Amino acid sequence: MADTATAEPTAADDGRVKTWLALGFIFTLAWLPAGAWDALIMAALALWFVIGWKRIGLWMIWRRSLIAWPFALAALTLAIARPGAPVFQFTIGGQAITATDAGMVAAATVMAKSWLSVQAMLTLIATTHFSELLTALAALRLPPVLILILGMAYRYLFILQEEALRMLRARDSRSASIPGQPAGRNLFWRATITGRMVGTLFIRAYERSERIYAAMLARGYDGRPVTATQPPLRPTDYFALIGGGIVCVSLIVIAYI
Amino acid sequence: MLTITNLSYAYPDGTPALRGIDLVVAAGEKVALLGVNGAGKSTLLLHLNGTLRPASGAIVVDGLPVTAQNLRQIRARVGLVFQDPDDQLFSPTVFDDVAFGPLYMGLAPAEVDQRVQQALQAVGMTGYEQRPPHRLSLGQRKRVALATVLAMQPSLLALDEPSAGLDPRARRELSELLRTLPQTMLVSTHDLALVADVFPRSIVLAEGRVVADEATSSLLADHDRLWQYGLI
Repeated sequence: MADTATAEPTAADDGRVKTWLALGFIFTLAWLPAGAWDALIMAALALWFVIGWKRIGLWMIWRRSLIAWPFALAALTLAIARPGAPVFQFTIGGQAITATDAGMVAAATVMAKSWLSVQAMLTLIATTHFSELLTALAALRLPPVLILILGMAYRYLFILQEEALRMLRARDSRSASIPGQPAGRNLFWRATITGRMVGTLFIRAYERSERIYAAMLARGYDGRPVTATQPPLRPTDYFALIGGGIVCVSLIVIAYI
Repeated sequence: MLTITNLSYAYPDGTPALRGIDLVVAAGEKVALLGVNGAGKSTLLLHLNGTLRPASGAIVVDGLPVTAQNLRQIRARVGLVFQDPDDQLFSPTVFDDVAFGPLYMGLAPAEVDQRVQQALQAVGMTGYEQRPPHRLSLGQRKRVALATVLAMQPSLLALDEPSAGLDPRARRELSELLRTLPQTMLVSTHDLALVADVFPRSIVLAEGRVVADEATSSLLADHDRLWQYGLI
């Protein structure tokens, strides 16, 4: 996602290393038990150090991470679902609901883990070109056909978006009114038009995919995804992996001792 | 009919696209807008119905300034046809697409039917009402795209490279069609044969500025300037 990146990836950063480190960090977070605040705080500090080091902008990462909050809020149900000592009670529709201490700790832990995980992925995306991510996924033995689908989806998503915007522009250009006549008919009619536009966009996308497939065939595509040879990791990459691994293991040790 | 005063516009990245355009087009005039790719022709046309908003300057169509408050009325007066008909046509059938504008304006179904038939007849596409636009040839789609705005009975037609990609016969038919339409026209094109056929007046844009505004006959006769403007 070079388009949205705020930090330019450097030659020293191998996309595979960054992807493995980000995934390792997220798996480590998942492994931490409920209430492991020391480990969670250290994980946050480690991540924010990297964000600062790479000059990505902590505020930007935090702002973008808000997208995960609606999902994290689902964790709030843990506060009332997990058994434990009652902390407070409230009533919904005549039904008394009790939040427990263990439930609140579990909910807060899940929310903290979700927030940090999203920040780790945003950091990865902000410093890694999409093609590098695909290379990293290939190195992780993701099926080549899935990588091909991801790559093409990324490439053509923007084309489809532009096509949709052009259709909307055409609709707006003919959304006119004349004096003394109410314009725009009614909501149902406008919704119908929008539905037809979506259908038209789908047909165009389908036909475009047929043309692209024909162009791929013309250039020798025979159903087997083609992936570029991956260069070997350099010593600095191994150092980064070892350093990241030590941090992850340390977090788990701190959480369980 | 159309008055443009000191119109300037820059793209979101800051690149200037139009620089102080001044232009007056009288009612019924047919004017060609010439210039190399990137000269600002399409950008200028997109200002006429308020799709793009100027950084500075003013546009008045038929006595009505192009402002956010007037956009709906302006769009009833300015029929803008995009270069790529696929950008213009968004409905599953030709009828639906041509009927969209009149229906949106709140016209009665009988009048909508009548306008659709008239518009399709004007562009020679009667009988194609139930065809899906994406199954038509490029020339046919261009005609239907024109019909979508003719059905709204605009007083000004703004066409963006209407002959681009057409074969000689389709281009000849388009030329005849544009000659017969009564509307005021501002038409962006690279097609000098079309310009000579249809437009008595030509305006040349270069780097967002008007560098020539004169009778087509005198411009086309000046080989050196055509070369200088990148038109040949």
